[in-house]
Amino acid sequence: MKRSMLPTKVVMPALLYLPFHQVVHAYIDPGTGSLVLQAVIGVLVGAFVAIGLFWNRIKAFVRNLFSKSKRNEGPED
Amino acid sequence: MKVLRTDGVIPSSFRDPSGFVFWQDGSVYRQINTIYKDDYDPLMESGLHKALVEKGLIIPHEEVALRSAAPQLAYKVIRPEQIAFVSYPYEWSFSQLKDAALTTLDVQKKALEFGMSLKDCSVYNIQFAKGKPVFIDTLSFERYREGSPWVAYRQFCQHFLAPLALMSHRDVRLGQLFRSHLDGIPLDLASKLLPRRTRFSFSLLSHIHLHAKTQTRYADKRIDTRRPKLSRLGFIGIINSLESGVKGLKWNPGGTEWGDYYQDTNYSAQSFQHKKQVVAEFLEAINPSSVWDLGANTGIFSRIASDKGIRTISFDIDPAAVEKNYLECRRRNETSILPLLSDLTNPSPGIGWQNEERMSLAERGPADAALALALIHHLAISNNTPFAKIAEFFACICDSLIVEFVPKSDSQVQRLLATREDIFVNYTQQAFESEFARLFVLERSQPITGSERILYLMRRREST
Repeated sequence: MKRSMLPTKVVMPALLYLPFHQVVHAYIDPGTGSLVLQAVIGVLVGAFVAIGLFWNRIKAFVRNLFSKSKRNEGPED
Repeated sequence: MKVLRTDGVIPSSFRDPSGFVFWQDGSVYRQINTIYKDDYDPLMESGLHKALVEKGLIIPHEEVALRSAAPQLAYKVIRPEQIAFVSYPYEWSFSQLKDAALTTLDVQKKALEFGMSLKDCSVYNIQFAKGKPVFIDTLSFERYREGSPWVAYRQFCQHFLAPLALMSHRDVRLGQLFRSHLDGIPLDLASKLLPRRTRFSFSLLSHIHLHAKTQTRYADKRIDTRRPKLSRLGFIGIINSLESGVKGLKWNPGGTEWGDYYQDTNYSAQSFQHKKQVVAEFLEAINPSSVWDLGANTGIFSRIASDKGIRTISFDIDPAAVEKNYLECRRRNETSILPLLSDLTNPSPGIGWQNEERMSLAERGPADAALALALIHHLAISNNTPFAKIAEFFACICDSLIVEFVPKSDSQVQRLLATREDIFVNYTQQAFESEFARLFVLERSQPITGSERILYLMRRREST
């Protein structure tokens, strides 16, 4: 029970205050919570996308290197 | 130039000021208002619309030269390819809803490639055309603004992820919550109903459980809505995360695979073959362009019609049968059959604003022909419905009827009567014929070889 309350009572409020703070400007409908959540989890899932892109570039670089060296090793005309 | 009338505006088309859908001279049209010009033009000119059409993700349309009834609002009028039968998420099986969700995300991913994004994500923007889910709302696109969160995120979670998660992790029948919640399943409700173990799935923890908490937390707070920022990578990450969440949800319809339902009948192989042959002959006599198979099970008899290219809706009350039917359609790439969930004793009503936003089942008919095979005894005995009322219902939804009478001596009827008192003194072939004859002309009848059952071909009387 205690473990399941952790995200609600401690982690969530801490996360939510990270990317911005509350400003009194306009009345916000309940959809606001959805925008807020995206800003929070977007940091995490965006990092995964960045890592994925970086990893693909490394793979492409290595593949390129490998195919280049193979071409160089090939018989010359 | 033909002038459009405003009296044909489809009742569900009032929320989005970008335009509206209307019905005129047997066709559906969509007016695009001037207010949407700055988003419609990039949709068409960027190549996004063409790319979506090529991938079969969006319904194709043509711009037509019709003069608007509200010219002060009008930018263009388009005529989309017509949808043969409009269906709703509470009539879909698990995999139909899942495919609809993945189609929506595919549309969103393609839109991002062209610098656009979906501004709404309603499940009602998806229809099944030629066997596949397709996006139908041309007005749902807007230009993507770097740094903005996805405005349709909440709607996607409520309309797709939450119901699929409930159907997968709790009970497939929870798909029926769509009937009571027009704007998708409230996330606090989904969060309460989902088992605790779903908190260990990143997608369900973040997009449903934490989402529900943040909605509650910010429901009455005043903040600057421009403050929450989401990078492009974050935006893509959220879509990827939703996609992996949806793909990870599974539901097994149970039982042994494919068609074991038909093992549980009192038909011999010979009788079953004869029944198929008679149904095929009757269908040939009617020559319908649309068929509704009522109580279709996994669709064996529906396919007698759909394999001939007849548009066929295959209704059944059992989510497992509809799921198996749909998976078979997908496996065979069928384009003429649409399996749907329907309880004929309580068919889909008109719902939404003024009970008009989503049509009742009867409003979407009548079909040229209906099949009611091995069904009468369920309606008459399990639901205590008199023959007169059954005939009345059929006369509302079809012009011609192929109906099977199952006598009381049949073992399936005896099974229904096993645990209850037989109060059905009028359940006789004679009463069946005389009640149906009030509304239908009984054209042909054919006993099924090796059984006591009889197949009838009936046509609705002109006056009804």
